[in-house]
Amino acid sequence: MIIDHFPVLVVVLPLVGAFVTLLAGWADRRLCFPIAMATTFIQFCISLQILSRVMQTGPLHYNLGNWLPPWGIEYVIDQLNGFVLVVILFLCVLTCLYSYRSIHSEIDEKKIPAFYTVFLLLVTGVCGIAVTGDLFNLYVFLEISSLAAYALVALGREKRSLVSSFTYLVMGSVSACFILLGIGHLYIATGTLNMADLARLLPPLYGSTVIQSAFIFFIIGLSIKTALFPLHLWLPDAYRYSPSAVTVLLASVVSKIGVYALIRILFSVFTPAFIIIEIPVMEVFCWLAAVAIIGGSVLAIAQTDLKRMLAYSSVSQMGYILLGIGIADNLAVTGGILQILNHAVMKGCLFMIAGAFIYTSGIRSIDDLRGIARTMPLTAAAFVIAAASMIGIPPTAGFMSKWFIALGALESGQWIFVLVILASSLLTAIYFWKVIEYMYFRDPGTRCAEVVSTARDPPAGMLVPILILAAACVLFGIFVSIPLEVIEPFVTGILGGI
Amino acid sequence: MTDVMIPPALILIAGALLVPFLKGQIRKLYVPAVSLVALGVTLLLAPGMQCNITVLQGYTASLLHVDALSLVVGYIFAFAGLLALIYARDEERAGHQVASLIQIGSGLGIVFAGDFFTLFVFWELLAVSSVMLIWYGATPVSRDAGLRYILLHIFGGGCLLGAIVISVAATGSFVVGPVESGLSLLLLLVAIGVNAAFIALHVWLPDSYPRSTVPGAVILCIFTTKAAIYLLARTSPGAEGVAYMGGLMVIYGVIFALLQNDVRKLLSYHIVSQVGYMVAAIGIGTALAVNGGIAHLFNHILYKSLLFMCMGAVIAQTGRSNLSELGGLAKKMPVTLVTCVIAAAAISGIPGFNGFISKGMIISSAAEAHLGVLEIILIAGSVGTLLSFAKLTYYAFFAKNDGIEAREAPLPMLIAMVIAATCCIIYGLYPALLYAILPYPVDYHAFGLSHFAESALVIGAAAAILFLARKLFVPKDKNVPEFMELYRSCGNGFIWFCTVPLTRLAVWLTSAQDRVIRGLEWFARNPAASFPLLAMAGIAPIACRVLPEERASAFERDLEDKIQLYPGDPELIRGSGYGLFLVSLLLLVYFLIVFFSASAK
Repeated sequence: MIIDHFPVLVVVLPLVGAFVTLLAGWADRRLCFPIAMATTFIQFCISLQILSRVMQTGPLHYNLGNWLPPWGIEYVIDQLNGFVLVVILFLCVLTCLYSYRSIHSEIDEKKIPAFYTVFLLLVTGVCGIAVTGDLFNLYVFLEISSLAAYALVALGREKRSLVSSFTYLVMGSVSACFILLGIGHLYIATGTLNMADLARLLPPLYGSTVIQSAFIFFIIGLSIKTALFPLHLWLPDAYRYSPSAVTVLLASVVSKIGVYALIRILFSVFTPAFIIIEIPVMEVFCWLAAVAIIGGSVLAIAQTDLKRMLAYSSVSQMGYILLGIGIADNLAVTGGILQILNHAVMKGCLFMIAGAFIYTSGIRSIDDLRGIARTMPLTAAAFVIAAASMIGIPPTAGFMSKWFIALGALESGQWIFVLVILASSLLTAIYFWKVIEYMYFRDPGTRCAEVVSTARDPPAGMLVPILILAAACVLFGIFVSIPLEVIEPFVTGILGGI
Repeated sequence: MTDVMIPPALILIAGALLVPFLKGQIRKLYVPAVSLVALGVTLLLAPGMQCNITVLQGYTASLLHVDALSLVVGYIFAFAGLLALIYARDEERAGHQVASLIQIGSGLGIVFAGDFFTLFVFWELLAVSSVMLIWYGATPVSRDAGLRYILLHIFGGGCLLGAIVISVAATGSFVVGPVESGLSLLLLLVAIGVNAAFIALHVWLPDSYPRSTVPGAVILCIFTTKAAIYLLARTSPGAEGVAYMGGLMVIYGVIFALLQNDVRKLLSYHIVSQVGYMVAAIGIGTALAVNGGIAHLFNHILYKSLLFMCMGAVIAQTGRSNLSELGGLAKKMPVTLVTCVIAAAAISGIPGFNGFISKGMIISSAAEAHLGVLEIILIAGSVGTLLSFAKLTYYAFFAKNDGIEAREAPLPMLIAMVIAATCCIIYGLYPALLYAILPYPVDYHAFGLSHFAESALVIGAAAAILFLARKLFVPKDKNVPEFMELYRSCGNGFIWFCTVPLTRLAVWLTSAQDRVIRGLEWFARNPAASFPLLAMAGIAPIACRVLPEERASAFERDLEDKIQLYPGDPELIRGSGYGLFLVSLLLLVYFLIVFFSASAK
């Protein structure tokens, strides 16, 4: 049955698609988009099917080439994988749709086949990370997705795109280096690379400094990948200077897969008992996350460029996910994983809107957005909804994840983090309110009055994904039980024991 | 037996609303006529009569609830109200007449209210009409006194409502009766305390009554305090603390009365003192005591309104209200003199007058309840009262003062005074008339030897004190410190606190907040640049001292340049080198933690 091969198909499909796109692009550039769109859409359908099977029958195991683990590579999909896979593929489909119009104005025509090829490679990488149950395989896919991401950032027309891509490359390579070091340490100590196997073999070795330093290498490496403050330095420029569709991908897909890898390694390779009891690293981690939450917001307030503001806001919001994980309490981890979905949706929506502003009027600066709500009403309305969700106003999705994280912090007695969350909500409100005020309540500035007055809502290809995501911001808040149903079994599974 | 009857309160209040439509002589006759009708209706009431009005779904206002206790208080309220209106015949201001009728009406309304909310409405109406009567005094002083009066009574009314709500919520019953002990009882006692002039809550009484109109004071002195006594008797008889509060009121009232120069202020303090007897009686709570308290209420209304009438007549005729300025009126106002002496005898408890009967009942109930201290206090209060009225009568009527022109009071006033005086004597000689309407069966011998002995003791003591220390009683033309002053200075202090230090604090806080916000704004313009800038500015004072001169000045110039250039371009934050440094730093931190936690184990 082909349905049994879905776990591997979800990875192989975009890989094949990437090469097909490249070949088709030589023949006719217009073929690239339909192929990429079809590929991601089929993947999305497959991922939904996989998730529903996981929910019914429990984790799926797929042995590549019928080599039994721990010798062969094993793909394991449990609720967390399934959930993350659906989220990122959902975003990939929408981004692909969005890119059809936006990418034309932002990169050279002849680079379009390359864009879709690399795009599909990136999808391959992230899906691979999501499904694999093998640590080294995870590293390989991490590299595939990262390399694809560097290339996508470099596609931007501005010169600074190259510089920021280079910065991203350097930092990403350091990160990959550390992750590889961590894997190496674990392999030396245990002789296995299969995650389930590692989880079984590691506990007796927790006292060993080899294991402990492996753990630290993972933490540092993935901190860079997820741009945990103060290792976020590559992020603002990478987000700012890449084409809009790429920014959306980076913010909603690539960063989320990094978090997924972190959760997987923290909770499935190592055990909660280790990270909480054996070494007090997680406390530092939580504090860094808290600093990220506040620092990201403060830096966002200072920005004059909309995309950079959103980028710093990402630093802050990723801090929430990491804080939820770091607290390692049932509720907090639930909130953290929920935030993966919510932040992908909200930030995807906001970056798409920023891209829409650039597409229709070329405006990048917040100052120039004055009065634009009159000419781009739908876009502006979507911005308000997504911003409300970022601030955490009930009943939006953003409120729910913050709520769970705050509850978790309270339950584990770390009320200081509740204060952090509250303070950050205030700061978030400040910088988003500034944008909303400019859009709705100010007259267009003299510099770009004409541009603003002639701007229109973007074409349907861009507007539809924006509106879908804006609606999702509210729907996932109201029907929060749907994602919770998926997340809770996983969280109880890993944390039930403590 | 459920006879329906029109509540006298409604007759009076409805009648009051018609007053403005009438003119001249008709109105002059109409006002006492309304009161007369109300008195007639009150006399027709019999236990068990009702008047229920469904106000809301599930709540029925019971405007008429008649039993022995409410009847006796109702009779005297209606009767004294009529007398006061006869006395006030020459007061022609429509508003004053409306307020008087409403005052009597709400007094009767309280007495016959069957449920707490009806009672509360009349309670508030009583306070409002009282304020009107005070304000008709029409001087700036009376305006201020009225404002203070309403402040305290709003407080009292709020407490009453709170007590009612808590009690109704707890028991589900609206019926006027004992309330839940605890908070609701406490609130109720405070509410009653305001109206009954418990010490510390009494301040409104000597503050406002002397400042109302002449007939207004007569009407005022009848209802407010006595309605509170009625409510106390109905809801919470028999509380020792309340009994001692009564004792305190007796002594406090008498002492302050002795110090007064203004005649109506003197009388006002005597209200405190006399109400103290009633409070003590209700507080003792035995059948004899409650009978005594209610009897004293009955008698007190008679002689105290008579006293206010007499002194009102004096003030009306002479235009003076201070004892130090009065005197020599004995020949000029003989009827007033006689009635005043009768009232003074009654209030002092001289045998043959009505005060003797009820005061005796209270004192012997205190003795029966073995409250020796209270008994002594009550007797001592009688001595003080006698002294005080000896002083009042002497200085108002007999002291030498040739400079006064005065004539006898007009006829309506005299009629009211004579009727009241007659009643004082009748009830003093035939106490059985009163016994018949008291709430409990009476087994008390008013003219027993011990009571005469007690009286003789009181008179003797008073005479001895007068003989020994006569000088003390010469009225002095100076202000006696009052409790109200304390409240006023507290209030003024509070207002000062709010306007001066609090405002300053607010201004300071605002400016501090401003500074913080401005600082944050400055910082947020470019946090990446402001951090190093702050660090540089922080070490500048040290650096300038430590470094050689040239480098120090270079440092300072550099700092100034950077401040000038700030905020610069926030986008100029990058460099992977910086990032790699941070990565290494963090790695070091993590390893240190692991190292130390490992070595700690």
